[in-house]
Amino acid sequence: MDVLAQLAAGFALVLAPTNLLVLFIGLVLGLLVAVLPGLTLVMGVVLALPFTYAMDITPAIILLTAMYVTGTYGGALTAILFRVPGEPIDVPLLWDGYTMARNGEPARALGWTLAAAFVGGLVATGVMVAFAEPVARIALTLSTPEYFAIIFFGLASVVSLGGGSVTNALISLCLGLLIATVGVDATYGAERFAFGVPMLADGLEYLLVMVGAYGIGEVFTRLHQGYAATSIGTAGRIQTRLPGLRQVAALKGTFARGSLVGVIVGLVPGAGATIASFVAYGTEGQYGRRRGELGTGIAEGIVAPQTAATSSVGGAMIPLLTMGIPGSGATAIILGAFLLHGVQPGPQIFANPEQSAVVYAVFASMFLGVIGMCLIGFFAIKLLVRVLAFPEAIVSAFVVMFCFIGAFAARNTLSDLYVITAFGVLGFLFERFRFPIAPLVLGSILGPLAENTFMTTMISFDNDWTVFFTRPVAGTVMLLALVALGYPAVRRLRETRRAA
Amino acid sequence: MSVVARAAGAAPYAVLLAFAAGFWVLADRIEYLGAGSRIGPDAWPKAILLFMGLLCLWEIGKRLFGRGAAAVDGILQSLMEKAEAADAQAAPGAPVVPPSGARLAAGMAVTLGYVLLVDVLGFFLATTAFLTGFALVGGYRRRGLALGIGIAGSLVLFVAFVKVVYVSLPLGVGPFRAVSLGLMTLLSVR
Repeated sequence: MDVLAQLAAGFALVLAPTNLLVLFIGLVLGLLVAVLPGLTLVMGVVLALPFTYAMDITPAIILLTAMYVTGTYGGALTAILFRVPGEPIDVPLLWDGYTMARNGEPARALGWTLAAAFVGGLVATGVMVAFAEPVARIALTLSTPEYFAIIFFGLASVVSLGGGSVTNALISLCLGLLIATVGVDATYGAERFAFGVPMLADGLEYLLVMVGAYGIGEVFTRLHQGYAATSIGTAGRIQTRLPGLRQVAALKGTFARGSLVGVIVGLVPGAGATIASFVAYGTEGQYGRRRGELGTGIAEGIVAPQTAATSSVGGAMIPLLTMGIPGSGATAIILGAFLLHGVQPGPQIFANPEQSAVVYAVFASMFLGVIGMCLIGFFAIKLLVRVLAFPEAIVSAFVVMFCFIGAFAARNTLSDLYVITAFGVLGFLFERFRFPIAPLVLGSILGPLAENTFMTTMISFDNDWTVFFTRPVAGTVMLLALVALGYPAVRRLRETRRAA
Repeated sequence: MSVVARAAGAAPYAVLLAFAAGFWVLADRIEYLGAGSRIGPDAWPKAILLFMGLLCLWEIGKRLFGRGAAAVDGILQSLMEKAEAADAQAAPGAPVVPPSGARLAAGMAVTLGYVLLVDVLGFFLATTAFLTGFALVGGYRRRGLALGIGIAGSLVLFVAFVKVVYVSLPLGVGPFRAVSLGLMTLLSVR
């Protein structure tokens, strides 16, 4: 009951004109970013961050989460209509969504996508509302060994679930963790790897690492590859035809499987919408009523990945809000926005009425955001897809500029521009030599927390590192982390044997 | 596989190994005051560096002396590769633009130039030059329009960040500062 009362207060807060306007802007920007060539969901949220500096915390978080939710949907439009997936999340939509469109039913394909995003979004938000506070209460009972184990699990899953080879991902993670050690350490106050440079003594802000590696690095990579123009010759005839309630009810199993997969996968740090989308499609291929017809342009092949992608947002927000642990690029930026406004997400957030009100306002904004996203997607689709024809060279120039302003505005120092340019070059080199960027970024974000919990545990338990394995909760989570790390090798071994 | 190709494959890991070794030496020199029995502030970075060094050694050994066994990929990598293979089979893709090192070098130079000159030229002029230059480097052919977009974009960003987000942007030096101040007066943001 208390939760419902707080949610009602959250709705009242979101319905204030400023917050409602920010929500609308976030939805439109999220959709534009998903459609614009050369921009990804994470980059979009990164670019929006500097605009939140001058805002209050509530509209700031509303803006970023609205972009996060819509970013899981917008790319579907171009994937289905033009076979241009905005990012990897949308790849499974090519198999049935694009095929359905090519079979002469693009409006129907878009309608199913919209229905799936709507259901996935509402489920995600419902799960967040229902589980965030209970999870936070559990998190309050955890001690430093358990916290370290959870962070270790998060980092391990980022490595095993991500792109690139596992060795490269581990090296990338090590570099990220190492970046986080630059500056004065929290336990002894000793200066590390600062080389007498005051800026380094203050530590390297993870936002600079992220903006540089994700934003500028991606622009350099795309520039190296060369920009290809996309034809939108059929844009004038585009429309969405929503499925009837009876049709939706017939696919209730697919909706349920997709939502469940999305929420569970979203909970795992490092997994996110892309893995959710692929796993949901795979699950549909195993358990779906029409599994034999997948890939021929059937609704199930659209509903499963899209529902999962959107519902993964709810799963990903839970560890962020309840433990302060971001599991993806987008949630890491949202964490950054919280911190910039002086709020530390974690179990204590629900104990503070003021901060709790912000969280419930975000929940409420997600409910309204999902509805708004679908309305904009339905009515403004023609305008949205036209953005695809915008020259990528110009978009990229603006992306770099937003990265620079974002980096500069955080501390008002020009030396940060050198730092993000350096990380941009590093991001490009990572792409070039197939080192994944996500572990680098998450390592630099979670590094201080990992080190603090590790050092505190070692000091409290007289340097006895076995506590990470002998305490029930910490031991179980560490075991899960080791399983996660070993899984890709086992999978490869099985595939090699099968092939032989 | 030739020796040169193997050495080229191992080279990035050799660089990273040297980096790890160098930082290990630096970590050894971290000064701190603490009880002798407790682990110090060097322990955490050293553990990371040791692990990273071992990973690099493993990769170097594998690339120099291995039989070319495929790397163990993360789950997303495997899924994407399968998806790409299936997609390429289903419908051959659009013509691919060849990668260009010159374009990349020019893009990086323009970016670095901006970082170096923004303090001298001021935000408005430097941003106009950057937006125009980067668009042209990226292959946008309509020079006049690129310049127009550069000026308009720079102006919009200037107003948005100075008037709405309240960021104090660099104004430049000498005559360039006068341009920035004149612009601010014109836009009544002073």
